[in-house]
Amino acid sequence: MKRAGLPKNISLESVVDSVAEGIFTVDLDWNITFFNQAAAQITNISPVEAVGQKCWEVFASSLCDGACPMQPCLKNGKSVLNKSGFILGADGEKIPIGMSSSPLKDKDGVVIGGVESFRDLSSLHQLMLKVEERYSVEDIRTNNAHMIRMLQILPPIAQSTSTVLLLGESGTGKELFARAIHNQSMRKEKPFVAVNCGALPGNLLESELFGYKAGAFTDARKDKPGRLELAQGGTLFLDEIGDMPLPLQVKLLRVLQEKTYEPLGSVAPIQADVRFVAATNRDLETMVSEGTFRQDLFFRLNVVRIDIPPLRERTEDITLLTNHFIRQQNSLKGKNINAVSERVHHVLFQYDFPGNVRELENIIEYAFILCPGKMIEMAHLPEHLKPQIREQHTPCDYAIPTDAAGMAQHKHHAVLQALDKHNGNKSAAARELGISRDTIRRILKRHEAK
Amino acid sequence: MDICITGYQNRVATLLETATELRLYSLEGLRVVRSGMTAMPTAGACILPTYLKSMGVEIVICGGLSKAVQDGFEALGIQVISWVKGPIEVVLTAYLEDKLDTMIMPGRTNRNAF
Repeated sequence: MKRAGLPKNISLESVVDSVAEGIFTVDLDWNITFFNQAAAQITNISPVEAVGQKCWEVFASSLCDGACPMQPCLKNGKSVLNKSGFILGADGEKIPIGMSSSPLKDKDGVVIGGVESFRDLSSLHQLMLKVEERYSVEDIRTNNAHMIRMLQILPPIAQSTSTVLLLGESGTGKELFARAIHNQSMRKEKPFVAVNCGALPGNLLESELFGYKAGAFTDARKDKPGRLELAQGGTLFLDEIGDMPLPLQVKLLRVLQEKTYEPLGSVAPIQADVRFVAATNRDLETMVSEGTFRQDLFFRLNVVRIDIPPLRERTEDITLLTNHFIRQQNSLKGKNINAVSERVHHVLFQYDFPGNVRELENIIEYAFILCPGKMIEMAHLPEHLKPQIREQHTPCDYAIPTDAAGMAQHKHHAVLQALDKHNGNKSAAARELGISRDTIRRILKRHEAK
Repeated sequence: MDICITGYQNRVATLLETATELRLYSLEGLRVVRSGMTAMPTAGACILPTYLKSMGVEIVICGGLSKAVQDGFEALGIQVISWVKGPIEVVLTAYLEDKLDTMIMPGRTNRNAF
């Protein structure tokens, strides 16, 4: 029988280098012996740097310590298929990957090493995250010092059983925080149930929250579980709690105090094993003083209070979030947009973002529809951003120098501004500008030399 | 000064998140005056900045770590030396001799200056 094989003028290495999956091989001492081009692209490490090094030092995945798929290959000659984990990019971003390993054998069948193939699952991961909404603390992206401090206390808060009150303008990410708290808590395997208290009229909200028994009212033909019951063992997120009608506030207070409630039409109390996270964009303290929000309920909810600042007060996050949303949209839409133009960057920095992070996300999503190339330009922004630019700024505010000297001056000015803003902290300034510390050093050095 | 090296089986853990042990050293000048070891907290890497801060740790030497955790350390004033590889004792010696730049994983640069 004729054996299939490569034509003599085509090397196996060139074939392996042309596939989209990352592939590398190791010897029995875990030293990398081959690293293909896709592996280099996904890990951002060149084959020259990788070959000869221990695989865990190059690959640096979440599976390397303790769950290495290559181990059964080298020890027992067994293949391992479709394990998932992540590697870390140089910027500290997690890149989800799927990987498989197989032993490499010589012509006598003796194991002489292993081969690992892996692929970037970022697109799939983004899609899953959107669908399942299993957000973690690490999905809250920020460079803002106040937010970073807040994120530090989020894990212990999540681990506690305390009620949490999230305050912040619309679009600041209150539900993201609520989900991160749930997913970091002991209740993470149980349901996370969200109710928007402002979306339903009082009587409907009551039956939605507490459920009802058959015959409780006309059309109640059979029992319907409430959100409280659906959230049993887990977390109930009460969004827009400030919009809850006063009579319902009394009923909710009782659940918080006594941990029991009765569905409509029922006489038997039900135990509520639920952790409450509430959120609002309204000023509850003022509402209490005006008598539109119960003081006792406010005190019950205000055990752990988290104030999420609006995006206009954390402009250092605009670049970070813009890049994040570009990456996210690239994954979801299958595009390859690299960045926003300098002019768009300026516009975003000047904009107030009344809709906060959600509005920025929408702006990027809109720009993705119109942007055919690799760079989001002014023409791709929503119209409402354009008049504001004309009204608030003279054209020279956005004049981007085109000559090399002018551009160098412009960069130097931007670096000085960022350093000033962050009290000379180069790491923070670099993050804000979306460049490395080395680039900052180079720009400063170049200017000193003049 | 107290430092922590995040470890896995006597070497620096590949990632901070996959560390199983925290090696703690108290230094006086270039001399280790006290050392100890504790397990990685079960709540994971997110809680590590506050956990190590409460122990008085000022410098963390680790493998790769996510931006969120790095920010957490920086917010608490803890210096992080990341992407370090090698056996823990060798890494400690390299730190004391100011030679940690020879112990960085290939293709990476430590995000903080030594």
